[in-house]
Amino acid sequence: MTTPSGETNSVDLNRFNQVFFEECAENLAEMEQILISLGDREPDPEQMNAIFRAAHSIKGGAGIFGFNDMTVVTHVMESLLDRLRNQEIPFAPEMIDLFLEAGDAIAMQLAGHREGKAVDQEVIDGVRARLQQAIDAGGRATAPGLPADHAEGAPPPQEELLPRRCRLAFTPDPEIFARGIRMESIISELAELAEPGEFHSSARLMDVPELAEVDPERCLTRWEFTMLTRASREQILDVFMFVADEEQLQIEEDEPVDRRTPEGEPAPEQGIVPAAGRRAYDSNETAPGAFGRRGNETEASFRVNVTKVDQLVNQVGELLITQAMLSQIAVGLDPILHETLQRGLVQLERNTRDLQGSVMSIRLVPISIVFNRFPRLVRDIAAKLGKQVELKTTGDSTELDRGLIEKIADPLGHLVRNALDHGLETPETRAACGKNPTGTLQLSASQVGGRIVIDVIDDGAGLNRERILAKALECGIPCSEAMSDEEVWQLIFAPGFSTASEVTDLSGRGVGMDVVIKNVQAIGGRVQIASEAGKGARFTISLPLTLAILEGLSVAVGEEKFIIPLNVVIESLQPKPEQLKSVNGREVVQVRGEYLPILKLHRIFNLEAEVIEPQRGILVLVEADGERGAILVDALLDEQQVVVKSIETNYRRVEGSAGATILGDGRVALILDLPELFTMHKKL
Amino acid sequence: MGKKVFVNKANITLEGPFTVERAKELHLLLVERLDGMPEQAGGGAIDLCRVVDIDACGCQLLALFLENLKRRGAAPMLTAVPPAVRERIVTLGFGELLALQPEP
Amino acid sequence: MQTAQGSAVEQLTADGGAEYLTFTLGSESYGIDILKVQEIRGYDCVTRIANTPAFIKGVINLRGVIVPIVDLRIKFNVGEATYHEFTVVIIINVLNKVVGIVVDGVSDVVALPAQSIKPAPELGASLDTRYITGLGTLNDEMLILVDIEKLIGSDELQIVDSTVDNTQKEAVNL
Repeated sequence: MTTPSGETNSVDLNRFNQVFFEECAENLAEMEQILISLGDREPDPEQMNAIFRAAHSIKGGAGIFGFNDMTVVTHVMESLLDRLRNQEIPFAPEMIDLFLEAGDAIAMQLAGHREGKAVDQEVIDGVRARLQQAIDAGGRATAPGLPADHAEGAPPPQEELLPRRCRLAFTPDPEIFARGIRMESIISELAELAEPGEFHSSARLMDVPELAEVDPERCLTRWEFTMLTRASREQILDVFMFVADEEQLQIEEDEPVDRRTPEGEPAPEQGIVPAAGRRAYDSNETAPGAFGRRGNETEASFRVNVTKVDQLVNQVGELLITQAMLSQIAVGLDPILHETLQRGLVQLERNTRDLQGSVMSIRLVPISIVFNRFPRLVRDIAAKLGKQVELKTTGDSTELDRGLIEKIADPLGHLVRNALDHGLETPETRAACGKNPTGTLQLSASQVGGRIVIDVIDDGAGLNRERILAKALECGIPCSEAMSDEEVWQLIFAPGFSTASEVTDLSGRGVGMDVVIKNVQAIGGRVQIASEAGKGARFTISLPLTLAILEGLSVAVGEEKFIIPLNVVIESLQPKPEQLKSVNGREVVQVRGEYLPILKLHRIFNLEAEVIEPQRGILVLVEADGERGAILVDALLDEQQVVVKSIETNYRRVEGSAGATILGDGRVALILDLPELFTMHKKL
Repeated sequence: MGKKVFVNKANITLEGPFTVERAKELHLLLVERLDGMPEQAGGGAIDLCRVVDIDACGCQLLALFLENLKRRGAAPMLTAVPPAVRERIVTLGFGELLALQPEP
Repeated sequence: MQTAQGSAVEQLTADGGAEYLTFTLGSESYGIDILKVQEIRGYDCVTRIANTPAFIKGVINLRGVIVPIVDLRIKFNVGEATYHEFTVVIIINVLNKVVGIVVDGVSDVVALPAQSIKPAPELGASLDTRYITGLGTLNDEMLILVDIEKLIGSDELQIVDSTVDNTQKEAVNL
């Protein structure tokens, strides 16, 4: 039989291919998650089934959608899994690595189809050969009579099901051809489940219109299959998982001649039973303790194109500006004459905010999406470095903007690699220091106020002050012995800085920690380091909750308006003369026994302000990154939600600002970046 | 690209892959041949010797073509079906609809 | 009319000519490729940005997009940098950036055939020769053709961030 030639090029198919790509990626992720969770243990039957199902789904989907190359590795993998599952081959811990590699190979092929990335055929062939080897070797080792000692709890091998006659009626979606689904693959797969020579397929035309009236891509055919099979109902349903909706597939099973009814379970009803659709096989996965993502999926969901969500966010942003504009106009109107209008505007404001909240929540995704990548990374790196590491994650369900998720994954990965490479010691060194030979790497996420805080904590050797200073000197990075620890730690973020004595395969890929901080800063985040020699280090990334909208306090300085992010504001006050002092020539305000530096916005931004003397203006007390200060402004205007706009789209970065926004009157106002303001203030 | 090859009025030779990718083109071709077919022409043959591939969509189109011919009183048969194409037609369950003759 | 003009442009483009938007800076006439011009608007509601050269007037809200405004009169020290209802801002779209430039006045859109454009000599124009693609003649008057893309992208105007690494270092060595 000729193989169907390649993929179809029709653009319309992309939409459907996308579904397969996503399913495939999810299946790969699920498989990897299980494999990683195993360590070196043998998977229990539940896990084995889950892995098998994932591999099988990928293979099936790839065949149906015409990505034949992807079926090659999955096929051998599936064979090996099947034999493991049926205990024809004993489990070996090396197989976990082999399966992980196979997963990588499939992921590479997926990326090849999805993003046009290069596929290294040697890798594919290598993995395939080794999978085959495992099958062959296992087959020899256990040829006759596998010891039955670990048969307990194993899934019943398929052979225990007696062959029975099944009749299937499949009425496909009329779009099935246009979707690029290959019926021949489905039917071939189904035929494989049948006993040899016991498969019959029959196509029927549901309607015979005048040929000229026919839409040639519309399916008018329904199929009936008759087969003698040992396969379970689930296995049969699996074949149709991508193509059949509920009620499109009917299965009629005859009683096997010599059927043993399982204890306590009523025999399945006779006759035609409408089969559940493509997720039919999930039914037993939702049982308590079932493995895999679908078990947790309690609410219905569907996929939405990201650009549509982004568009929605932008439109809500514009709506917010319009609403602010209307409110501003209404302020000038007589409240008695325009009472109804005012009431309507209040309602509009409330509705707008509710809408905004709902829309923003669509973009929020749990950080576990990123965290889930690390078990694998940590495992691989630790193995390469000969280190023992236990990875702990907390706060996996912390949600943040999906735009941020994408951008935080790389810096976080870099920090993890760095901790493994430079932070954690070898088991011998650790034992010599009286530490547990197995190091701990902890990833934790939490929401603190309006920010997301992600910690990467290791219990390794900590940062070495002397070595960092020496290295910085060597790299020509300005530094001095007088620097505080905090300042010394920050040196590692300088471009060109690297403390690793030799360039390692892991961290020293020519990119240093400077890339980490650059990427983090690009999304409005900051990195802080805490370290204690011999005890470990903690890298803390703090990120804004969302990039799009911010609660702000608008203030006036002369002609200009600025937005202070509300999450840094402690309070505002009009200082009394006795509160104002001068320390080392710098003006400070004394608040509850604490001296806070006064940041004069007009001086920092070179503006003409009405108020130059602090006692005549208003001080906004702020705190950011543990630093406190008092911002001097002419007046407080309003608390409002502002849509964050990038200045960098059309202009360079503006020092002291974390972006800009458009106010109700249509003017642009800068959003202040407090840590930068503190720095600018110190330079004055 | 498949070309129309008019052997004679009653016989049709089809060429190239007979699949969903070419469905529109094949449909036009068959509609044209349908109208060109003389009514009550009796037998006639649809020669598949140059068909290299066929899928479910192609089978359905061919079946619809045959049904339409029948409606016009013609009952041509598929001839010279390459083994791979034959096997595919059987797998897809179109053997009966296309009145596929047992292998010689 | 429109089509006639359109085909004229095509013809001109084919032999290397193009249409130019002409404007004045002080006593000199300049021309920029009309295809780089997004729109022309008045000057209002500019938000100052601190610690920038005087010719960066600040940013404006152009239908939800934040656009920097450069006053070429200040940059090239010509004309009088006053702002009133007739002050004109040309919104340019180059290098994936939208930038507004303030000029003394916009005159016209003219089509110049390629053969009428002469190479720019080293001359005492306010604008550096680097940013001049050539000289055209219009009604016996000299028209200086500006490579607006080069000008906007130049270090001199400091619109495009070419000093990322430096700011990075500063941020790191807090």
